[in-house]
Amino acid sequence: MKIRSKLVLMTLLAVFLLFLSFSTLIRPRYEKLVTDVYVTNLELQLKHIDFYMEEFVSDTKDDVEYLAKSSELIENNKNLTNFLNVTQTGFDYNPSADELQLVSLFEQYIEANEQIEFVYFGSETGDFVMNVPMMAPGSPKESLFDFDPRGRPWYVSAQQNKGKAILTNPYTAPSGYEFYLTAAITVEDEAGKMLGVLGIDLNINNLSRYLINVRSNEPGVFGMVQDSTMIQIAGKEITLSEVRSSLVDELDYTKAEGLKYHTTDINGEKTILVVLEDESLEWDYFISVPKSVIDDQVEQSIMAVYIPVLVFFTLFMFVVILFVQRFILKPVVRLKDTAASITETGDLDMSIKGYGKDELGLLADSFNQMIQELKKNKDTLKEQIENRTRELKEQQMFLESLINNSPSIVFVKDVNFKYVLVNSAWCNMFGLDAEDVYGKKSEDVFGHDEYTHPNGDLEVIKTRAPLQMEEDLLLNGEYREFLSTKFPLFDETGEVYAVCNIATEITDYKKTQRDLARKKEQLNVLFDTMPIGVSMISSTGEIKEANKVSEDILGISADEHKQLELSSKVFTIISSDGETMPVEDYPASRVIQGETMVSNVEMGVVQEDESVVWISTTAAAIDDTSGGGVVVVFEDITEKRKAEHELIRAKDEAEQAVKIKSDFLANMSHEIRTPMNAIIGLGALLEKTGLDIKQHDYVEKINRSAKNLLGIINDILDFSKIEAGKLSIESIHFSLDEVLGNISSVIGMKSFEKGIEFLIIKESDVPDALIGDSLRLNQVLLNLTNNAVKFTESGEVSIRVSKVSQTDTELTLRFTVKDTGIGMTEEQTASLFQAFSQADMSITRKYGGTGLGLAITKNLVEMMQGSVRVNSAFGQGSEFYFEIPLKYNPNAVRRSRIVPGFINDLRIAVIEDNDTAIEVYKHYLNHLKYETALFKESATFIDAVKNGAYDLVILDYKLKSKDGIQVWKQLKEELGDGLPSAILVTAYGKEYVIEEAKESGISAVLMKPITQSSLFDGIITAVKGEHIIEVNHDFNKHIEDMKPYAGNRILLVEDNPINQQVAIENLEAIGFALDVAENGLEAVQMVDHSLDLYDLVLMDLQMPVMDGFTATEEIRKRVSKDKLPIIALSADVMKETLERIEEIGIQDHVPKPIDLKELYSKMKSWLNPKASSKENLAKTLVQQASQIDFHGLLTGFNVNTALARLGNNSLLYKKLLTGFSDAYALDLKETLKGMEHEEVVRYFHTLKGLAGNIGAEKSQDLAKDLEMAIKDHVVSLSAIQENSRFADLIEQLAHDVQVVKKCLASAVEVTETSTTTSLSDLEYTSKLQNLVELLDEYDMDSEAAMLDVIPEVSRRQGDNVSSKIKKAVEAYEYEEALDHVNSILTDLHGAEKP
Amino acid sequence: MRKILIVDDNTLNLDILRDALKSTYKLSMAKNGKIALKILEKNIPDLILLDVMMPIMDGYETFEKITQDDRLRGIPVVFLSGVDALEHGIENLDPNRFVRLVHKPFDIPQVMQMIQSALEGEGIGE
Repeated sequence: MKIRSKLVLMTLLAVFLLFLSFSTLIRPRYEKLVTDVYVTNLELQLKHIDFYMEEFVSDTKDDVEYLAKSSELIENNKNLTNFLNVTQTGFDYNPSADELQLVSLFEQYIEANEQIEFVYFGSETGDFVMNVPMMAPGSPKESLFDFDPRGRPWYVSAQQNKGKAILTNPYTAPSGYEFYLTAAITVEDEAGKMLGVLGIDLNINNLSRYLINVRSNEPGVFGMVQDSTMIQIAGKEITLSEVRSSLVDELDYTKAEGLKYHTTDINGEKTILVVLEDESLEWDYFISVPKSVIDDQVEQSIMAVYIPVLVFFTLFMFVVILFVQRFILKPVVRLKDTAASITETGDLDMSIKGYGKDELGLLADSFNQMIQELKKNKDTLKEQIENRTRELKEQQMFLESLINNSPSIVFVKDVNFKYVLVNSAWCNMFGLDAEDVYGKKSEDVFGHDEYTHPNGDLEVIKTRAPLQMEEDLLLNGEYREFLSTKFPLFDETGEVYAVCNIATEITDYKKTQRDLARKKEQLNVLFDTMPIGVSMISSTGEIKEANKVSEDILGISADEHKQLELSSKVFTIISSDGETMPVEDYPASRVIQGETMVSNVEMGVVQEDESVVWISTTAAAIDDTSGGGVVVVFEDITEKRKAEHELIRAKDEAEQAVKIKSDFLANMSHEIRTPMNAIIGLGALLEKTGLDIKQHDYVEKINRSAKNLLGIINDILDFSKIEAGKLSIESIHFSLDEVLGNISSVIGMKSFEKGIEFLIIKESDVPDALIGDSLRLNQVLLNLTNNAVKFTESGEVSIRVSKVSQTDTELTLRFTVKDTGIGMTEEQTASLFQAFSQADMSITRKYGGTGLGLAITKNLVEMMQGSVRVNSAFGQGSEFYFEIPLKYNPNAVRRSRIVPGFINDLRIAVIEDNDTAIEVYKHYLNHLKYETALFKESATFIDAVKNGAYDLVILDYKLKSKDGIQVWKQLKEELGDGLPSAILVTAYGKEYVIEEAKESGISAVLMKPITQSSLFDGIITAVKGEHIIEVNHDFNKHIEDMKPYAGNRILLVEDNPINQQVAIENLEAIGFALDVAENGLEAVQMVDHSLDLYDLVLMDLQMPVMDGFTATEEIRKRVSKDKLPIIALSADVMKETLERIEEIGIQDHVPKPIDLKELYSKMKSWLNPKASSKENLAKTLVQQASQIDFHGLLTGFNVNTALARLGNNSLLYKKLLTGFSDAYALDLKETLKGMEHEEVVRYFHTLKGLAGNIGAEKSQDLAKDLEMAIKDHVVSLSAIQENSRFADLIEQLAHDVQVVKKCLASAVEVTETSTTTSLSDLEYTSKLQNLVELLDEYDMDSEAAMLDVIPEVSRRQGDNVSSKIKKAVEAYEYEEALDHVNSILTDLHGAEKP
Repeated sequence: MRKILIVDDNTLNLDILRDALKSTYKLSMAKNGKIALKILEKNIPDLILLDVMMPIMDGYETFEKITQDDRLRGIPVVFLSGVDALEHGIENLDPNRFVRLVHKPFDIPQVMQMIQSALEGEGIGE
């Protein structure tokens, strides 16, 4: 290779020398040659230009001369435009005919000579004309302002050379952008007078276009110099400028020396300047070219020769090198390679061939011979080595397999503790390759010593003796235990050079060992500490082992215990019945006898002190393979037994307590209800007596509170009964409609007051006649509905009854009570039905209540085999529903099906804007098979009724837009004749609504919620066209219903005087004839005396002397059931009681406190109507309606008692008062004169009675005393005049008569004044404003202020408004009242200021 | 005349208290705490009779709001409670506050006496 490199270097040197000679010797000569050629070319260009310019100028000069002599110019140059005074505004260009002729002349010339742009003429007078119009009319060019041709260069030059064509120097046009040479000549007339100057412009810019073509794109600058002006063309750019003096000097120098060209510095650049002088035009032309341009050309030319020479030379050298390579270098290299290859591979079979007989060939032959010698020696040696190697290998393999197949790890370290050998078990264990660890210390491999105690190796080196030890080995961070054998390895000199380790892992073995030990320890501890006695007994009955607890339980030490046998009579063992237990019955003995296991045998161990420790023993056999025998465990159950006995006793006690409680409750029930009965009954009575407004109000509130209290007490008692399991469910016939009707009457009022829609929906397939516990069903529904109303502020509450399933005799009904109230969260619903809890405490705080209602409801429903469920969404409302099975009588005729003929096929239109209510109507009316149309808007309703020929319309009273009556009135107006019948449905029967309905011709008013039957009744009433009937469930209806039964004679058996009074007053008010028995015995006697007299007995059950049970039994001995029905009155409604009364022949039962409605309805079912009494009764009721308030008017009179005695008949009272005052306004002394003894007595008797009747008690007492005194002859007839009592009586009577007279007079007055007075607007407003102020302050005086103004409100705004205000104020709803009053005030003001 | 604000949702109770107190005091009546607070914005009474159980805003909540109002500092509050035991609510109220408690059903003379003593600023007691 080296030789080849040298060759290449030599070649490069030769090339370099060639290049050097070329550039230094040849270049200057060549440069001169090229420059000459270039300059000659430039000279040629200049000459060419000069020739052209000369031609052009002389042509133009000829032209101008010729034109100047043209006759047109000479003749027509007078009326030309003058620009001397042209200003921007004051110029109007109007060329003359002459001027236009000149212009046309010039244009002709221009057309013939393309290079010429302008031809013009300036006159001696300063006029100026040109080949092109100078300007557009009215807009002079700025350059023409004040334009005077006479001052222009061309004019001046021509003037100086009169009659001779001249050429101006180049000059800049007025526009400033273009350069011109002008050929000009004076124009003279025939007389030789100068008229002006004619000019032809040679546009240098146009000229230069030609020049540029000549020069094409040659480098350098072309210039034309005349005097001091220079036109310069560089590339395509042309400029006119002053000549720089330096350039003039250069040009002059060149011309003067006659140089072909001149090299000089222009603008710091070497430039070649070539000059040509034009003699005729006196112009100098020059071209300046930068020297670099020529240099470039020189360079290019030289390269054109130089490169081919270089290439040729290089190629030649390359051929030379190839030759040397092929024929000299290659064989030498081959020889070298072969030698090297033999050295490298040792292959001695090689030889070198292919060399000729030259020097190289001889060298190859010697080489071949040397190889042959070497080969022989080598073969012998090789054979010997192979033999030895094989032997060694076998030995090594044997050892390796021995070591590598050992399950123990084997490793050898030298005395420096570096690994020398590791076996495959070692490698596997550490996950390392043997190669990676040889020569390293364990620290280097693992980062730590693999043994926790590496001293073993050291010891072996020291002692030179094998060592066996257990040691821990750290592997992957975890210690593993090994049994290691270490022994030294000696070299031939007997020195230890390495230590061999053979280690077997014993981690698992050790672990198992430790676990076992621990288990054993645990078991021991457990054995001794567990609270159960354990003993091991051999199959022969010896006690082998016993734990500590067993000694505690049995009271002997474990050691003593162990020495015993089963049969040792240390203890007496008794069984749970107290008998001594024989040994063979011991659980252990039984196991020994063959049972596998005996569990939980109770045994008593009798201690020395005779006390018994009770144990529960279990014995189990131990497998024979584990040594056999029995394990016995026993537990001390002495305490447990005791506790069990305690429990049983406690249970008995608790049961006893429950019984006592239940008895207590039964008693309580009676004890609470009796006074409650008195409170409620007397309250009702008190309400009927003549009370003033305030008293009446108080009483009403007492009554309401008492009823609430009774409700709560009933809840508590009910719940207690349910808890005690004393409540039972009846199975009696009842009418579902009646139950729903009852609820509707109770809830309807409440919901109306709260402004909530209340609806009852009974689906049409639900039968009415059912069998079940109507009382409890009623209670449940009432409870749920009450709740619903309570928690609902707006929207609606509905009860829906639907049928779920039905068989021949039984059906399941679903009752759903739904509201749009406050709803409950899920947590609240969860605890809902628990007793004493409401949804949560905050509800209790806000809404009150006992929290028992739902618990009772739930229990009652469950007792009726149903369950109450609830769906509720917080803030949206709740839905409670339950399904209960009820029996029914499939043969019972359903009332609603008997549709009288006259109400068949009715077409009915309903207007109602509550959706649920609409659904209800649809349901009911469809069921009655009527063609029904339902409307929500009054307008569409009226339209439909007008066009639809309806038989009946049903109007909801409370519509959004207007009320039902208004709709009806509008209908009446629009329809005139052919009005359908109408039913008004209203939430609560306000008098004025019913009144208004009646007046406007509505045939029936129905109370909400409507039921199927009330709707049906209403339709019948309406279609029949009878008088208005208010179909509701009001209490008055009950009294009304009782009317036909008045006149029946009733025997009331009751010991409590208050209850007596309640019953008497109420029943007599209806018109029953009533006798009272104080106790059972009296009752029996009275029945004895007049067997046929009584129509009914009302029997209290708990009475002194003879109770109701006995009395009934006695009466039944005399009169049968059908002759004389007996109704029991009792607070005790326990099932047992009810069963008993039925047994003894009491037909019915009314619980105390007595609910009159219930009493009446029960009485009705056992009595027959008596027609005669109807009239009287009606009269009484009418009279009651128009009462006069006598309170406060009759001082000294006991008005209440009097009125009460008169059945609250104030008209009668008034009549009596009038009679009294008429009869006794006389002189008593005169009257008595001449009367017989008897007559006087009777007179006083009558007086006593009359005075008593009107409540004049003092007079009554005096009259009574006198009557007695005279009757008994204590006072003689003659002496009576002197008697002081008599004087008192006269005085008292006079006073009484006066009071009565005054009262009668003022009673009339009061009524009159109260109806006639009316307030002025001003007074009214001020009173209302006063009320507003008070209300705004929430002041208690609001009520007084309201009462003051309310009659006027009623008069002006109507009862509706006034009652709203009154009610709001009375309920302390001041804000609501304020709204009403304010709206009245607004109306008032509105009326004043329209 | 001293002014008393009576807060009770039960119309009957309002009736009874009004009739019992009207000759001695000037009264404002509120049916729940919310209305009471509205009244208190404009008028500061000499004493507040506050029912515990009320809809919309109960007595505790109302009391809390009253306590937060600086203008009402020192105005005695008499709670009317139908619950037998002192509920935790009253126990947790500010002990420095001038609070009394009347159990329902209340005895009118007792209420009168308590109002009297509260107005005279005697210590807390029943």
